[in-house]
Amino acid sequence: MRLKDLPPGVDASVVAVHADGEIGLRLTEMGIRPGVDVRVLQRAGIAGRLLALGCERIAVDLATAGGVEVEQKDSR
Amino acid sequence: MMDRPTVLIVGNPNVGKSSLFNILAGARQHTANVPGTTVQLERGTWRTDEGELDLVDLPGTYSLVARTPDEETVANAVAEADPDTVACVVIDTTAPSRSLYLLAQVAEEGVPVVGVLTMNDLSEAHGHKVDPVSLSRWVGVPVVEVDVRQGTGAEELAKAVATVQGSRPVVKGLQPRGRLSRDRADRLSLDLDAARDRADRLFAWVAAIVDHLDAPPDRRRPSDAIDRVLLSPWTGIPVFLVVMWGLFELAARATAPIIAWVTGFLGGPVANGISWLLGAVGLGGGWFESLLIDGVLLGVSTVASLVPVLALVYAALGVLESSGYMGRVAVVADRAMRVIGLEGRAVLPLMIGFGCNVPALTATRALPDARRRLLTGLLVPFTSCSARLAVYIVIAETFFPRHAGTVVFAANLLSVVLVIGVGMLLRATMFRDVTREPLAIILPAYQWPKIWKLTRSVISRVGEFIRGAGGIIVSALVVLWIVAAIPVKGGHAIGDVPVEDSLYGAGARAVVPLLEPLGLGDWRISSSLLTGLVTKEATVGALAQSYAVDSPGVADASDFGSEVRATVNETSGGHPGAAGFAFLVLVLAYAPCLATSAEQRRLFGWRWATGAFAMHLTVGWILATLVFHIGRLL
Repeated sequence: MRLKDLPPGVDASVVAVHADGEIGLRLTEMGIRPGVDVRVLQRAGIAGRLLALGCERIAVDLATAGGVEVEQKDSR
Repeated sequence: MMDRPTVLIVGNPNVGKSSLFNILAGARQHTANVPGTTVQLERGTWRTDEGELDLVDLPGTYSLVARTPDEETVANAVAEADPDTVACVVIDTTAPSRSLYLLAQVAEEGVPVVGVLTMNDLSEAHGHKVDPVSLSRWVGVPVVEVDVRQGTGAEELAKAVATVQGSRPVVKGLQPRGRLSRDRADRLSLDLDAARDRADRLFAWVAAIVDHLDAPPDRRRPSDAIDRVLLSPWTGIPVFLVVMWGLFELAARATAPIIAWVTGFLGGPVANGISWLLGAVGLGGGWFESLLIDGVLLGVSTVASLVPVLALVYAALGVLESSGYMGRVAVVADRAMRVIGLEGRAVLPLMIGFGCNVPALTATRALPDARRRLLTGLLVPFTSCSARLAVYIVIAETFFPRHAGTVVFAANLLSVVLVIGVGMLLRATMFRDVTREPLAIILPAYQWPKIWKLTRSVISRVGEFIRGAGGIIVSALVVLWIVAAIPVKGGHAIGDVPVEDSLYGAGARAVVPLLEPLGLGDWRISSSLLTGLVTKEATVGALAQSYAVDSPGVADASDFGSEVRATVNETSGGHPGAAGFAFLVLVLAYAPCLATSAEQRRLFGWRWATGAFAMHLTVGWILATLVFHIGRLL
């Protein structure tokens, strides 16, 4: 599942980051890397997503969120 | 200054770096500019039991892989550190991974590091605390807790700094890259894949450390409630527009009386004082007095009248930036700005441009890379500032008395269209390398701005403007005075020439053929446009002045309007409306004002400032010609 399809409030974990070049480096530097827990808090702007990585908050656009593969965590 | 060891304060934005700096330096601090940039640094002296240290509060950054001038400043400071320099890396316990990643990067550069915990009380409130002793054990370098509210822990930090200066401990699990690969060019050419591999490796190291810590509680922050409003497009965009409107209102209302007082003071008591002094030494009444008062003093007054607006906008920018709101604006505006090929952050300078272009140019520094800053900086003068608004109103009332409001609105709309159009044109030609950059930004928790830091930063920025652009403005007005003072006919004395008979008038006449295709081929109009190069609001005054010279005794405003209409009716061959609108378009686009050009030169250099000027002349002329010829057919 892609991060852009993850419903808000659902816990997930990053499986892979499909992004090259500058944006790939930036996501890595922001700590968006395989194994990290992530959650979508809300929509950000017109088509972005506000992500929570622990206490940290990151805003990404839809295209970027589309490049991040996540796995939903069991909620129960 | 003695060769005192330097202590760099490094950390993510909004983690209490400045508070730490303030505790350590106390009153012994000042704001300094990084040479060749618009980046500001806080420098100070830290008196410890072990001796005095030079303290540098570097701009907040998440990484040493630099993208913005701020980040580049940090990267350079770390890379070019002397052997006895120590870095105090501030660790935010609510976001330990990000802080430790930066600490790892600094340590790999070979600079001895001390970790500083400053926000522990906040995370304690979250029921979560990081123990400095155990963190120190895992990282392998001293970690000290400093309470920035109480001011405790500073002595312990001083001891830790002295310790690492001597022992240069290596961070556990990391290998300093050595000083060979330290030169700047090498680091900048570091290719993306290598940088990403390195980031991956460092984050693996970070993850191992963070595993030892209590995981920070994954609960909502107070900022999240605010973000629900400010990041939602339905509320975030209106809030942004209201914030901008409030800023404009404040800029207009709060500064108007100050500007009136300053210009009144310079034009009244100061001018009289100069006259009196010159009279006393026997130089009164002549061209020299006129040069001083109508040239130099007018220039000083022009610069001084910009200062209140600049100070206010700089303060507002500082608040928007340090509060964390700027990042939210970038997110909310991202999609809309992307349509025109820019990114969300560019919305701020472009909006501020509608108030005044000069601080708008300064605001481009929030953009992450140099090419984008330049591109936005070239578009800013196409935003229709409030000085131009005053000219539109006069033109609209002269040529379209019944539709003045609509015409003024159309001019502003055209300004938006021009920003978009020229932006697309530039991106298709000289800025093909500026590609659409995906949005991914860290949003720090909201924070109250620090008044002392803000005040010093505003004073320093205003000072930079006065030093960087003030001289150009004063010299240009002196040149303008000289040109207007030299008679070319009619046997006048120097400094006592009607505009028409001066070199200035001759210049205005020389430009007339250029204005003929626009239906505006009259020397009085070209003369007002030449004056408008200095300040836009002077355009109307210059026009009125040249008419007063032509037919003395006619001072009535409505008569002046009908005279201008009569002139343009003639020059346009009976299409005053079309020519009037072409005049409006010219005022909008034909050139940035002198202060804007001077600021462009300060930020981007002579070449770009001159190029921008030429671009405005071309775009303005072509557009106004088109408007006239199309308007004539309607």
